[in-house]
Formats: sequence, structure tokens, C-alpha cells
Amino acid sequence: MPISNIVRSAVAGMLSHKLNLDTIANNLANVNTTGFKAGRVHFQDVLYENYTYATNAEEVRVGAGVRPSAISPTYTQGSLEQTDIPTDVAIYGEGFFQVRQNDGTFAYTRNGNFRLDIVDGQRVLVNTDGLPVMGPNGGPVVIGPEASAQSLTISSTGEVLSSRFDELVGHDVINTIGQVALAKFVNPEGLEQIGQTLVRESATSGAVELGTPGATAGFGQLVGGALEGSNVNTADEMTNMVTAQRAYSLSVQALRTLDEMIGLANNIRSR
Amino acid sequence: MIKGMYAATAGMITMLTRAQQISNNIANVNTVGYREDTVRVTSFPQQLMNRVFGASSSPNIGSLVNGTVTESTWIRYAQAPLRATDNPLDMAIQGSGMFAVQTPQGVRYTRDGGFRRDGLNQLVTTRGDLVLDANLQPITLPAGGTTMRANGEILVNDQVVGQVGLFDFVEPQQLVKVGNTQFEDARQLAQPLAAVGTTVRQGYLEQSNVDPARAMTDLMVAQRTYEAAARMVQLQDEMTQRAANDLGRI
Repeated sequence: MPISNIVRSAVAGMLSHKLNLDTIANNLANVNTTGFKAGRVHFQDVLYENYTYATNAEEVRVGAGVRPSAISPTYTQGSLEQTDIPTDVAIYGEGFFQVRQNDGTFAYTRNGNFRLDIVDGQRVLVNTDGLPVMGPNGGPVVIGPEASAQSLTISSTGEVLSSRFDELVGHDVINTIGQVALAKFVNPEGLEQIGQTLVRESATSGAVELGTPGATAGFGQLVGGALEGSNVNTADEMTNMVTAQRAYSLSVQALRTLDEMIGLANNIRSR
Repeated sequence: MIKGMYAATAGMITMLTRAQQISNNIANVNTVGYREDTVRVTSFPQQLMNRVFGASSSPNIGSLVNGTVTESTWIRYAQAPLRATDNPLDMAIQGSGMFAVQTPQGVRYTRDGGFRRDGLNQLVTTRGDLVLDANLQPITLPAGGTTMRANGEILVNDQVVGQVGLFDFVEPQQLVKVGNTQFEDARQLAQPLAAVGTTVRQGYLEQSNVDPARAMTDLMVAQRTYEAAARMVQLQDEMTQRAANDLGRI
């Protein structure tokens, strides 16, 4: 058999465990990223080959190593952090905010670090990258020009409330001026990651289902004036890093041993 | 030409295969549901001794030349530790048995319970293969949170909506590994039947059952045995050299 086949499983092990280390490093780097979900690598073994040395011998099956089958995010709840910024909002439970990208397609995010901006002549709620946040009617959440950012509140059901001091009645009057929608997927792990904590619908995620936070069954509630932190558990990641690193070292040792064995065969005649 | 040399070479090949197998086990120390490969105990070194010094049969060293090294893969099905995940669709088997999955190549079996829903609300593996129930039918989950019973029943909104099939085998060693942590009953000899006394735990994944310490020890043994066999080849060569060059010289 060729030498490259002999060391194949050891090399596959090194590459896979390296990918695992990279993913853990990425998780740890995003321990303070709003709305970040920790990624997990899932491994599977690879095609087996038959070796038969003699006609009466049973077949011997040797695997060709390991490969990652999926890197999927874990959609567990991240901790909520109070910011007291009225346009910040966190999701407690299932669901994603829907934002419209510059090319007109929709993307989804758990990051509720929003602000107000003018898009297409309208004053709307946008995310950190300036993409408008969608309401339930397929349009952006329009905030009238009279409401200041400081006077806004976002309720648990996604209503955008504006309080204004009314001269006539002599106290603050609260008006509902907008509604934030939530989107849900059958298989959120199947969503395609496109960076900036944004994800996109894919064939494996299933079709998007839009709803109102809290009110529709299965949709999480919104918490105004707060942000969802990342769900990275540092202790968990450190443990994973130790095992991934040890697994990598083991594969390196296996490669070294196999290399020594091939070396022995090569040097049988040289003395 | 030289009797012992071929036997020693056969030993080298056997030990190299064994080392490759261990290397594959080591590569899969973090693979969910991986089962360790080992070889049957009648390994090469002992057989060499039997052949050379065996009293029962004629010490026909010639039969060794053909490399009749009986060796076959033996899969170690021992239980591996479970690890908690926070995914409600992760399932770990406790006890013997496997899940059945529908692949494009037919029904296959796996211990890897890292499941999820696909876009059609069906229970699938990370590769997208359908997870099957006891009657080899796919399982569809209505929307909602899932809970599981130890017997594999899946509940959505307190209603039983399906039960993952758990299969045990009369002859588990007849199963063949085909990659993707899947096993195939290629020769129809494993005889699958409903598993008895096997339970499923929700929110856990069963790890690989490879023990790194033992794998490294086995690798060392394979390497040293290989080295000894290689030394044997060299010694045989030296002896032949003597015969060819030194004998008959005055």
C-alpha cells in the first residue's frame, strides 16, 4: 500500500482536531460578543478499506481516519445583560430578529443592539450594521420623527412604545408606534452563518415562520433595555480545548510512530 | 528462497496494519458513538512460535511462507461515557443496541445520537439521514419542545409522537463499518432484533470508547513487534550473506 495511505488516518486526526481547536478558539474569542452562539464540531469516522493477505484469512478492515461532519451552533439561551439603552433589546426564548440586507434579502440575528437611523427617507430601527429591523408586516419598524430615542421603550411583546409629556392632560402619555417581529425556524442549527452574528435561511433550516414575540406560541419574549450575551461557557470551552489538544498530540504521536515504522522498512537493507 | 524471511515480512505487514488501525482509533478519540477496532487475539508473534515449535503438527515452516496469518477485525462494542449537551434532540444509548438510519445506500445502524430536525420536521442525523422507528419508518416531530422517555418515546406537548427504534444484534461482529460512524449489515448475518433493556438518555451524547492510554500502549507494542520482525529479516539476510560469501572459502 502507498505510504500516504499508511499515515492517512493520523493526518486526518490532526486536521480534524485542529479544526476543533479553531472552533473552540473562536468561541472563546466571542465570549463577550452580543448574541453569539457557541459552535460545536461533530466528528464521524471515514470510509473503511478491506485488506486481505491470504485466501483463507478473514478480511481486515482499516479506517481512513476522521472528518468533521458538521459545525453547528448551540442555540441555548445566553445571559441577559442590562444596558438601560432604550433601543437595546434581548430575546428570552426562541426566535430571531429579521433584518433586511442591502440586496433586499432577509437575514436573522439574536443580536438586539439596535439604534435609530434614516433609511430610504424614513426613521427606522436598524441593527449595528445599519440594516433595518423588520416588523410583522414585512416592512421596517418606522419610528416617527417626533419620538426621541430616549423616550422609547420596547415591551415584552415587541411593541415599540413612545412616552411624551402631554401639556393638556399634565402627565406622560404612552403611544404604540411600532412592532418588532420575531422569526422562527424548524431547525435553527441548519441556518447558514454569514458573519456579523447574522444567519440566513437554508434548505436544512426549513422555511421561516414570522410571529409576534411572547404572544404567538413558541416565540420568545423581548426584554427591552438589555442585550443577550454570548452563550459561551468558558469552563466548558477550556475543558474542550484540553481534550482537543490532547487528541491532536495523540494523532501526532501516531504519525511519528508510523513514520518510524516506514523508516525501519526503508532501512532494512542499508548497513 | 529463505524460509524465515517471508514469515518475518508477513509479521511486519500485520503489525503495520495493526498500527494503522490504532492510528485510526486515535484519530477518532473525539468522535461521538465511535466503536474501537481491535484484532482477534491470534496475532502474528504467537502463531510463529506455534508453527516453529508446535509438537502436534509437523513443523512445516513452508506453510508460513504463504503468510497464513489469521487476523480479522473485531469491533469493541463496550459502552463509552456519556457527555451532557444542552440539545434536547441529542440522544445517548445506554446498553447494547443501535439506532437505525435511512441512507441513500439503505438502512444502516449507528450509536451516534446527535440528531436534529430537518426542514420537513423529520428527525435526522447530522448528515441528514432519516432516523427510523422500530418499523423502519421515519419519525416526524410536530412543532414544539421535545421530551424523551428512556424507552425512546418522543413527546411533543405531552403527546407521544414517535419512538426511535433500538436494534440489538445476534451477531454484532458481522456488522461492517462503512464510515460516517455507521454500521451496515452487508452480509445479512448480524440478525437485527428489538433491543431489550436498552435505554436512551435525552440531552446526552455517547463519546468514543477509545481509551487513549491503552491505544498508545498498543501502538508501542505494534511498533516494537514490527521492529523485531524487521530485525529478523536483517538477520536472515546476514545468514544468507554468510552462506553465499563465506562458506566454502578456504
